[in-house]
Amino acid sequence: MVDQVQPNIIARPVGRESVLTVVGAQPGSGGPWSFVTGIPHTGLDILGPPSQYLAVAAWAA
Amino acid sequence: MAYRGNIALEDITVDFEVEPVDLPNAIGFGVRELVTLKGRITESERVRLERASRFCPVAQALTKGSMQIEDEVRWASGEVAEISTGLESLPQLDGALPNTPSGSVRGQHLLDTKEYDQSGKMEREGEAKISVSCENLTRTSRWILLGGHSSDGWVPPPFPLAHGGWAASTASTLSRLLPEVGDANSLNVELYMPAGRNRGASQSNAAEGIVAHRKVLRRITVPGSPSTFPIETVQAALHRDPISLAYRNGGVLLHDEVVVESY
Repeated sequence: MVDQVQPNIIARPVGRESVLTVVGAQPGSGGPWSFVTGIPHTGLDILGPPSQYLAVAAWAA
Repeated sequence: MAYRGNIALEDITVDFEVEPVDLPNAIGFGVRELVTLKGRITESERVRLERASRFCPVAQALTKGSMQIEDEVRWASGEVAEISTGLESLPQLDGALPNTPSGSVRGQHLLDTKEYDQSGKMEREGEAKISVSCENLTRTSRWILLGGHSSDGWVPPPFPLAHGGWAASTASTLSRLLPEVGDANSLNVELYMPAGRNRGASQSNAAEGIVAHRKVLRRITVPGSPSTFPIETVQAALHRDPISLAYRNGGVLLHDEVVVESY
């Protein structure tokens, strides 16, 4: 579907409790913008909003 | 849309209450939306803005299942496979996803970030400050984000930002349901999207209540090989991912309301 070399968005886990996401990773666009989201956990505070909140934040924007 | 439609909208705020929804095979969360418009707005204009709110690209993706997703899995061993849409023989996964914590999201338009051309015609709608608050283990935690449309690219546009949430959700879900994948430190989620439509077309669709289906390729890189991480296992995990479920089927919106505060 897509021939571009670099993706628009990249996400990968950092440890077991967080995910690092880069929006606008492809060349020639605005960005990049980096976000840390948290994976709710019974033993630790999350360091960023859960990923669902990032999507709802986009809706609010 | 209001600013392009010559509606005398002076300010706008959007409030979402986010709550867990504990039902089998459900998305796992839902939102209640309140849009507050400020200005001398007629009832017909309020109705137009309400429709635009329900049909903006992000709302379409989360509430109307407008995304057309192609999934591809790449293993560290070099094999590549596309995921088919069939659900017939997916394995049951033992892991559990964490509950979505309750919280709120408030978006407030930053009026002085609107951009105009030399003739005074608005070129970009400007930015929004987004306040996020949710329950955490030891406290209520809060974050500030920015999003919207600005020519210098200071902030992410809403639709890519929503996809950022989807990519993060995918990575979170895979790392929780397939812990061996997450522990290997080589799980990667990439999204590829065709060149963006112009914002005018998106806003026209929103104003007219048209659902526009959009394609996206999601490429997931996992460690090992198809024998150590079968594609059916990856697919079974993806079918439990909250944002993926919303993108395919909609259903996030529990209630919405648009109110006008006149001066």
